[in-house]
Amino acid sequence: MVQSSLSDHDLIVKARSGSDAGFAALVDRHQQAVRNFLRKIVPNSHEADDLAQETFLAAWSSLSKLEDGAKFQTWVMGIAWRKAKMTARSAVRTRERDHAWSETQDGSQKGVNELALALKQALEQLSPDQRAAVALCLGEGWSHGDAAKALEIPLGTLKSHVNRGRAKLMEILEDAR
Amino acid sequence: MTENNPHTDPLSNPLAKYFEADAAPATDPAFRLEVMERMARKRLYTEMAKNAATAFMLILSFMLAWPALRGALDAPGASTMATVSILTIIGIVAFAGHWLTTHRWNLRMLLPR
Repeated sequence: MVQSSLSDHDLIVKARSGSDAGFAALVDRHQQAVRNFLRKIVPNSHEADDLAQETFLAAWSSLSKLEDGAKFQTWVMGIAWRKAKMTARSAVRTRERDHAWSETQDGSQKGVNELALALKQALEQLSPDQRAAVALCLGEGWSHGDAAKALEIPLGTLKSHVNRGRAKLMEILEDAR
Repeated sequence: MTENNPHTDPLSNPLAKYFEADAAPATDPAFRLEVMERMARKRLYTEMAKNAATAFMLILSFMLAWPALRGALDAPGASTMATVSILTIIGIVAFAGHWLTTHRWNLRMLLPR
């Protein structure tokens, strides 16, 4: 794609002026990070990808609200996090999804990706905030500062979530071996 | 992104292999297409809503103006000018309605700089 050489800022300018190709390039560039993040905090990969699409749609609709100089990735991840939290609030639906998800995992998929399954089960034992912090900082390699901005929590709290979450994950995954 | 994250080095992050196991592909045209489709759908619904609002404004203004319009048409020696004026007003109201639904109010424009 021609736009791949342009910076995020240039693509945002293009997208704001109505260029779908500009926004498509932003989607291409950031879809992996957003989907990886959501896959760690939402029980089901399909649900996570659906939420990722909604996230980009919301970003497109409110692109004019993105402040000049703000990082697109941090901003879009913030949208993803808020959407994931809103989805998780409908507790009944979540419980149903979790149930459906574990049923699928009991079947043929179990042997396919044991590492992913082990991580998913371990992540479920963390609080949502810890899970999100761990997914961004350990999974996506984000700086603590950017992750704190995206999740809208103080830096100290984020560091504590990452450290505690990491220790807990290590413990759970070691025990599971 | 990694300037103050001590956990990103694969050697110091034994969890890295777990995170990589369920990673989304780096490029995924199907995903992009799905997003573009949703954008097109949203754009279509927005346009339809705007057009419906414009039609509503047009019908409403016509209904409000109808008594005066009928009076003008029924009057002996009805003036074509009066009829044209009323229809013009209806057109202006409909145009204003369309403008209001297709443009966002930006109050900052009204504030002194």
